[in-house]
Formats: sequence, C-alpha cells, structure tokens
Amino acid sequence: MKLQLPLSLARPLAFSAVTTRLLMGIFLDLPWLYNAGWIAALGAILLCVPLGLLADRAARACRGGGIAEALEKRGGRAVARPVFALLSLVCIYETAVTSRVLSNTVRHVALAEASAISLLLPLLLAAMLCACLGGQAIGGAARIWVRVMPVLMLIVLLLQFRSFRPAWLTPLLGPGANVLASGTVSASGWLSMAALPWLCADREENGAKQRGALSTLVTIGIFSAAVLALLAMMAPPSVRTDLTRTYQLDKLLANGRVTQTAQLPLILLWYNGLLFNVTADLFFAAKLLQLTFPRLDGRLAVLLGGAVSGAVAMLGWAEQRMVVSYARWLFAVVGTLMLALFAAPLRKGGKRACVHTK
Amino acid sequence: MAEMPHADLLRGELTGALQKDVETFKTIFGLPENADIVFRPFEAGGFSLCAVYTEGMAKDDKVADFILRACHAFDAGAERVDADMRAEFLLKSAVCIPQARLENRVQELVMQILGGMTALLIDGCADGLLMETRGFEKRNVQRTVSESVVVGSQEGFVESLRTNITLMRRYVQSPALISEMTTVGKSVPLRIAILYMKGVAREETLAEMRKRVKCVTAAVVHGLGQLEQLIEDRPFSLTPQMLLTERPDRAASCVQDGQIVILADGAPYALIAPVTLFHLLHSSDDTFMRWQYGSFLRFIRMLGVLFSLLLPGAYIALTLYHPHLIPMALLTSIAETRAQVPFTALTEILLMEFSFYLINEASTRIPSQMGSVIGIVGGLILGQAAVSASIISPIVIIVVALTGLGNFVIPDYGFTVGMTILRIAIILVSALLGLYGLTLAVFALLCHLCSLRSLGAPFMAPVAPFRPHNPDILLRLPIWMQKRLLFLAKKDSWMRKETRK
Amino acid sequence: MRSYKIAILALLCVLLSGCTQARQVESIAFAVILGADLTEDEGIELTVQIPKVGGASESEESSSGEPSDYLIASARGATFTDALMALEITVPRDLTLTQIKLLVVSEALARHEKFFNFAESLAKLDQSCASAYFAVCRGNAGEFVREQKPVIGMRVSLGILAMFEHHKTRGYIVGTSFADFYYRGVSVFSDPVAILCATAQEAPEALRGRDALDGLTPENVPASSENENEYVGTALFRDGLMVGTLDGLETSLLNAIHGSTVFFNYSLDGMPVSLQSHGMTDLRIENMEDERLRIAFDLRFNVIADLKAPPLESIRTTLREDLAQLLAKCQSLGVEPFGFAARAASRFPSLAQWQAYDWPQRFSEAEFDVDVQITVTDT
Repeated sequence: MKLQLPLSLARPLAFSAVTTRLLMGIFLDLPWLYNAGWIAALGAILLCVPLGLLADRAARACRGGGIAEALEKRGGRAVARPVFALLSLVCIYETAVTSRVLSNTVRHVALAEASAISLLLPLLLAAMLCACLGGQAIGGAARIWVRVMPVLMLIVLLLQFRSFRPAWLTPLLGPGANVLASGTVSASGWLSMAALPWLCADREENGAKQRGALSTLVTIGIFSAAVLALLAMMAPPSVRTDLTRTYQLDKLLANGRVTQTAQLPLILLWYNGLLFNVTADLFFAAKLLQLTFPRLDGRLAVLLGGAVSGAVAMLGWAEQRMVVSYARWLFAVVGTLMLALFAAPLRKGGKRACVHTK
Repeated sequence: MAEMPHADLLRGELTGALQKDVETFKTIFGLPENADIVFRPFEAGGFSLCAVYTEGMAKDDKVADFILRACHAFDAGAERVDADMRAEFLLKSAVCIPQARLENRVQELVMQILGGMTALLIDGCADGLLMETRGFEKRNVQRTVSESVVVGSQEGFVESLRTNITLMRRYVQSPALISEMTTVGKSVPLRIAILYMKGVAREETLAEMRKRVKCVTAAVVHGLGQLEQLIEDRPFSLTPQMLLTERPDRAASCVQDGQIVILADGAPYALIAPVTLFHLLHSSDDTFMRWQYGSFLRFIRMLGVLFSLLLPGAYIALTLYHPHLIPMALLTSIAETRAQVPFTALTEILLMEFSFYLINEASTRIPSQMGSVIGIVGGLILGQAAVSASIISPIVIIVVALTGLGNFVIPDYGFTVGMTILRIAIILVSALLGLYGLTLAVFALLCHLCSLRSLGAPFMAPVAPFRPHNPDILLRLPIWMQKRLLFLAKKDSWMRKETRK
Repeated sequence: MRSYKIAILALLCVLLSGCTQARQVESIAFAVILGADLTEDEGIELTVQIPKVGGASESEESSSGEPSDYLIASARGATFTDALMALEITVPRDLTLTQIKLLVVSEALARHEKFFNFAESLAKLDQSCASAYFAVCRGNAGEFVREQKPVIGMRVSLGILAMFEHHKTRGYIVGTSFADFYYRGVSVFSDPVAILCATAQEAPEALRGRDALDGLTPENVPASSENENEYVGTALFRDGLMVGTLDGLETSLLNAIHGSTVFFNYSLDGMPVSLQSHGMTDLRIENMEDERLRIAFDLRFNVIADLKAPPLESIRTTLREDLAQLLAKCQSLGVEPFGFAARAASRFPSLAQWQAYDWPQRFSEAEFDVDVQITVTDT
C-alpha cells in the first residue's frame, strides 16, 4: 500500500497540525517568552519564507504524481534518500513529543490515575489507524476541522472577551531581545514542519488551483501569533513563579477568568489540534520512511513509526527539557535538509526539474 | 457444479416443428406438475400455432383479443407465405399488439413468458413471436412511507419496474434519459434498469457501475438492498455509500445531477450512486421550500444528527470523568436524581438505549391496529414507571429521548441504523476514556468518512476534498445562487445551470 | 481476518484504558466554599462546605435544629497539602475542589509569611479552582464558611454567584477571582487585591458621614438579616502579603478607576445623589523634572438628576477629595492596585528594564493630578 496525500489537502493538514504545534511549543515549552510569544511566531514566518518559496517551486514544477519522487528522480537517490530518512526521524520524534503532551494533558484534565501507556496506546492506535487510511482521509478530516475550529474559537473568545487587556502585551520585547531571538529560532523549527506536506504530497492531474506552502506558512504564523497575543492579553506575565508545563496548561485551558464549564470548547480545540498533529506527524514519518525504502508497505511504515514514537514517548525522551534543547536545532536541521532536497534538482535541471519522464 | 434443470434445452433454439417445440417448453416449465403455464394451440391461416403464457402474469383479455381473435380474423395471402416466413407475416399482418418481436432463443422466450409476455410458436417456422401482454396485479402508485415530506411530490415508487421507469420518465421528460435494461443473479435473474442522463453522467462512473453490476456472481439477488451490498465500495463501513430512495422526484433530481439510478423489479426503491454524505442528510423539503425555511430546517436536522451521535457519549464522558465541566447547579440536580438509582451512568444509558431500540423495532413490526400499545408501553412503563421506581434517572430519559429524535431526522433509514451502532461505540469509548475517548472516536470516524468512496467519488466531497459546489451543503441558500451542476456530473456537460460567459 | 483485528484493537483499548477511574457524580463530594485559617501553631486549617446529595435535608437536622443541606468539614495540617490530605480523609467521599465558588482566607493567614506558599500550592493544585471568588475574612474563615447560608432559597453555588454579581454591580467589592489575584501576585505590574468579608457584628450606633459607604467595612455594616456574612471593601496585598484594607467607598472608587460601571449614592448636605462611574480617560504617566512620577487622569461620572439642580461642583470637590485620600492611602501602604503599572510598562522595551525602573518605589512618591468630569442625565 502506497501512502498518498493529494496536494489539495496539504494546506488544511499543515494548518491544523502545525498551528497547534507552534502554539504548544511557544506557550508550553517556552514560557519564558512571557507575553512576547506572538512576536516569536511572527519572526518565525520571516525565517521560514525561503523554505516556503522552495516548496512552492518544487510543487509547481511537478506536473503530476509524487513531488518527492520527482525530486528524487532529478536530484539523485544519494541526496534524496538520506534526507527522507532524517526527516522521517524528525517526524517520529515530533509524533512522540506531541503524543506525550496530549497524554499528559489528558492525565491533568481528567485521568490523573491512569498509567502513561493506557493514555498513549489508544492515541497511537487511533493515529495509526487514521494514518493507514491515507492522506486523503486525514487531509479531508483536517479540512473539515479547519471549518469547525473557528466556531469553537469564537465561543472561547466570547466567553473570555472581558478578560483581554491589551496593556499586558507590553513591554513589547518581553524577556528581552536575546531570549526572544532564541525563541524565534525554536518557533521557526516548528513552523518549518509546515513545508513537509508539500514534500509528501501528490500532485493531482487537473487538480484545482491551490494556495501554496508559502501562503500556508504565513497563515499559520499569523494565526498562531494572534492566538498567542490573545493569551498574552488574558494574564500579566508570571515572572515570579516556576513556569511548568502544567502551570502553563492550566493557564491555557482555564485561564482562571471563566468558570470551569467554559473549558469545554478549549479542551476540544486542544485535544483535536494535538490529535491532528500526532496523526499528521505519524503519516509524514511513515510516508518519508516509504520514500526511503520504496518497497516498504505503507501500513508497515505506519506501524513502525507509531511503535518507535510510542517507545520514545514512554522512555521519557520527549519531555520538556529535551524538547527545548532539540527545538533550538530543529530549524537548522529541517531547513538544511529541505534546502538540499528542493534546491538540488533546481540546480541541475531548472524548471523541468520535477517533470516525470515517461 | 450442478446445472440448472434442462439447461441444455434452454440453450437451444426453436426447431420449427410445433409439436417438438411445444414439448420442449412443457419439459422446461415442468408440466403437468406446473399448472400456471398456459399452452393454447389453435389453427389460423391454414397452419397450427400455440400461444404460451403465464396465467396471472399475462392479461387474458389481451391474449384473447389481440392475438387469438386477430389471428383468426386474418385471411388473405397466408397460404402463399413460406413456412419459415410465417412469424414475420403474422407480426406484420395479424397480431394487434404494438410491442412484439421475433425470437428464436428458447431461454429468452422462457424468461419473457415468465415475465408476463406471450410467446406464439408457429408450425413450420423456426422463429417465434414475443408479444407484450403483461397485465399482472400490482400496487398503485401511492404515498411514500419512509420519506414523507410536507411540501413536494407525494408519489412513491412501487414494486413494478415498468411503472417505476414510467415515473422516472414522467419526472425527466428528456430524450437524454437512458434506461439500460439488464439482469443480475446468475441462477434466477432479476431485471434491473440503469438510468442516467446521457452527456451528464460521467462515462467512467457509468462504466464502473456497468462493470460492478456485471461482476455480480450471486445466484439470486433479492431486490436493490442486496444489490447495493454487492456493488458498494466498502461493505464493512457502517455508513451506506449509496442512497436508497422511494421518491421518484428525488431519483429524478439525482439523475439530472449526473448520478446513476438503478431500478429493479419488485423493489419500491431506487438505488442512487455515487452519493456523498450530504445526500444522505439532505431531504427533498429543503429544496421545495423557500431558502430561509429550507436552510433553517436543514440546520436543525444537522444539529439533530450531531446530538444523536454525540449526546449520550458526551453525557457519559462529562458525568464520569469531567464533572468540573458541568455547571454546579446542573451537576447537583444530576447527582440528586442519580442518588437513588442502583445502576452506573453507563448501564443506565445502555439500558435506556436498548429499550428505545426495542420500542422502535417493535413499532416497525407490530400490526398497525396495535400501534397504540407501543405508545403506552414506551411512554408509561419505560418512562414514568422506570423513573418512579428509581431505575432510571430523568436526565437519562431526556438524553435518550433527544438522541432518538435526533436519530430520526436523518432521511435515510440505513444511515439511521448505522448512526445508532456508531453511537453505541462512542458511548463505550467515552465510558472508557471520557472526553479523550470521545475525541479519539470522532476523529477516527471523521478520517474514516473522508477515506470512503462512493462508486469512486469521494464520500465527503465537495467539502473534503474540495470541489466547486453550490451553497447547498449545511445551509440551502437562494435557488438563484445554485448555478453549478453537481461535481459528480460530467465536466462541460450540456446540462449546465448557467451559461458560460 | 478484519473482524479479528478490530476485536484485538477493541480489547487492547479496554485493557489499557483508564476506565477504572470513572466516578459516578453522586459519589463525589463537590466543595463549593473553601476556607483557610492559620492555626495557633502556624499550621493551616481548611474548612469546606459541601452540598449534600440525595434529599438528606428532610431527615437530618443540624445542631441548631434547622435542616442542613450542607456538610461542613475541617482539617488541619502543617501545610496546605497536609491539611488537604487530612480533609480528604475526613470527607466520606472523593473530595473535589473543581467546583469551588468562593475561597476565603482569614486575615491572620493573609498577613502571615506562610500565605504566599499557601497561594502557590493552591494555584498549582491539580484540581484547578482558579475561577472561584477570592476573599479575605476578618476573624475565623472556618466560622465564616459555616455561617455562609444559601442566599434567598438557592443552592449556595448559585446563590454565591448571584450575590457577588449583585455586590460587584453596586461597586463595594472588587470582582476578584483567585486567578486574578494569583496572576497579579506573580507578575511585575500592579498589586493584587481581594474581597474583604466578615461575619457581621452588632450594628454600630453612630451614623455615617456624607457617603453611606464611607468607612463601611464588613464587620460594621449597619444592618441585620438572616445572612450574617457581609462582603464590603478590599484587602490590599504587597509582595504576597496582605498589608491593608479599603472601605466601601474606597473600593467603589477603585472600581471606578478600573473602568467598571459602578453605581453609588452620595449624601451631600442631607441630599441623596445617584452617581454612575464611566471609567477613566486620558491617563498620562510621565516623569517630572525632579525624576518624580506624575500620574494624571480624568474620571468620568454621570449624575442621575433626582434633584432639579444637582450640586455638581460640590460633588466634584468631594469626589476629588475622596480620590486623593484613596491614592494617598495606597501610596503610604506602598500598594498600587489601580492597574497603572501595565500602562507605565509600555514605555519600556523589556521586562528586565521595567523591573529595574522600580515601579513600587516610584509610585509611592508619585504626584497625582486627578480631574473629575460629571455629566447630568435627566432620566
């Protein structure tokens, strides 16, 4: 079975998965950005622009079939396959990180006594099941989710409307320019994952005209920045306390201003966002694994990806401390790999780089 | 593998020797044990003939007036006609039945005789005559049973294929409406008609449908319900991927949108494919009424569907795992009503759901004269008495009642049952993992729905994946905004709703 | 084969799920009020009020002979966590704090150095109760919790919310949730505040001055009713400890500066005047030549003309005097509860620079220029 993602569904999938990742990364894992997380998200857009342009160019040059296969054909196996393999590892780790956060959220919100495996396993099983259904399935679901999400967001905004204080967005640079710059680099690592769908997608014959990777990256960045700004306007920066993930999660879900009852739409938003994130990461991990080993069955690739991510999450290698250290290098790693992949055929064959030979 | 009795005879052709041919047919039809096949020998124009028809299926008056009397009445020139041209001569000069043709294949003659036509076997001629004399008893066109609408046509399909095709022709008066006749069922064939609009339905979809129908290897196909199961894309899915409707106006509308309609003998339904999820959720009323009313009712229906799928699961998840998400006033009233109930919330819900399905199933089977019994049993015993006896808490009755109402707003009955099964699954997952389980289940369901295809077309289109469409998905906006043909139709079809500028 | 796969998946889900954690709602004790006191040995005593479920009120009677719909439980411990654990042992159901509507701490605890740890533990509790109203109680919080009765035939949960909505609208309490209090407490902007409450003593003999709220605190409300718990005034905090209080009038003015629409009645020369605040405009925070801070703002009010010619100038003067007193009081206590800090911080690029600016010190030495604008409405 070959895993496929129609290019037309790359945008909603990227949006629903990466937006949550960016919010999670900045708000939960980098709480020391305080009220300036939104600036980090906007800064990440600037860093990711070249990546978006390259992804768009590769997708445009491809007239039909898999974009990655076409890039491999022209760029050469020697470059492409190791890149696919490394990106697959990144995706597997991202799956582990996100699934760990989701299972921890669940434990914090309701199932405090449940074991980690009892929370991770159903999640990974569901994610594997959905990834096995293919990109059409998760991309389609993401497209529907992108339409439901604003309704829930609107409810949240209306419920918390009176809590917003624009003054809390200042001082504008929050923890200072250096910390903010370091946060921006981490944020751009997470944002750069939004270019992956364009690498893993298949261009449909006579497909409708779609908005590309660059516009999606920008949209995700702006949307995340807006949400982070709203979060920052709800409470003054908590400078005098330990900013644990749990504390931040409480702040994110309840925010203290509204009653617990009003958490419901936020919990749904958070669970679903993370669920899309886990599934999309797992799908991309499996797809990239399949691109590395073309004879590998798609279902087996998903199973492998899921099993390894589960093991990483269970072994405690996806906790905040490690994630923060790794996030500093994520942009450099993903950016270099993508650059190597997208730029190689262009250097060799110009605009005809991705045209399939018959 | 054992062959059908007299298969060799069926594969043969008429010999021209009347006695022998009549004997062949009698053997095939199992005379004398089989009593309802009529063999009527007679002489006319100087040669022997035998009319063969099925009693009850063919109309006696027609056979008497337009075959027997007509043959007796003709005189001139019969002697001069060659023996092997007698059938053609009779067709042109004697019989007064508009639909008649020459036929010499025994199997075809047998099938048509069983279908109500009359075969005329002629001595000395290797061709027989097949004449349309069908006149069996059938139900008149009546009101629909399961797809009632307030505004719009009230006619429903009946069990006669001919009548159903006629109904379709009446609604779609266009020469482009093609009705291809074929059969399914290897041993006992069932006559079916594939209807589509030429130049509107996609060729590849049509070819796929023909292929699937041709590939049916079942010995017997009992109606469209079985045919649907044999040709659908994903038989293990809980959602139907084809639409069964008893409304000819709906079938006609689908045909004009480029979909394919299958009608079958004995089935008061039409099977429509390809369809999307939204076809299963839309009703004819939506289009017949003004757009504000249609949109509002459709919105209510969608909410009802969501309630039906999620409400019991959400109740279980919230009360068992997330009581902090329930407002305190409601929480205390739930707790107080539950304090005397001996069962867990899950047992309560499952018990009530089971009772509800039981009432539903019983009301379907019970004779109509006893219908009121169901109301008494359901309302009084299961509702009031269960609450008074503290077996069920009132809030659960409200949840199950709302769920049930939501379930029955779905116009497609098959989908209603599918939703019920899905709901139970969601209840169980919610009981295990709370909102987390509910979210996982809904997510998996959404992905599953997006992976489904109906005759090759994506089931969740035009939303996911996106296809250009009219504003007619969740809301039904004004009719003058509905300018596009459905995405399932052929591109650049002649049946465009707008002229391209 | 497929059905086997599905069955195995379902089985795995069942075996590995957290289904054992399901609790029926009637088996959970939802506390609606939590009180915290400082014990003699500097420990924490927690008191909770839990509604009884299942129609217990008809048969059981409390010591006073009245039907009791609530269970009151107390427990002590060296820290908040210890006390909570003891409380969980004493309550014969699973105790949950997620539905708490009111958190009350005694003044003794609020002024004690243990208070910040207490607040920190409460904020980081797994069961978030951050949306509860936060109040400081004169006297014993446990007694206060015991005395808190349903308000006018409602459940305490609903009654308290309705009561606070009412008090907030009248303006003599601040609508502070625990989250508001805690977030402000750990931030570097303005100082946190809490509602001030007490079980009322006997009504004082002396009549008040020009405003009924002037000098009004919860323990000396000149009224009596079945409900003896009163909520009037504000508790002021600095660096995690309570340092002072504001009376009813000062709280109303504080609310007016915060931008809330507050109704209050003045009594000028024996004439009643109905005022409605409309928020603050034109806030300017600037450094003067002598490096001192100058804070200027206009406060807008509306007078409902009960009289043909309301004494506007007199009202304005009175209001300005009252405001000046409030600001001076806060300056002397070194507390800035008005929310000026966030505005002042906007001039700084980073939090570090803002912290270096030493806002509390500068605020305590600041000069104020307050103007009061009053419009008259006929109807």
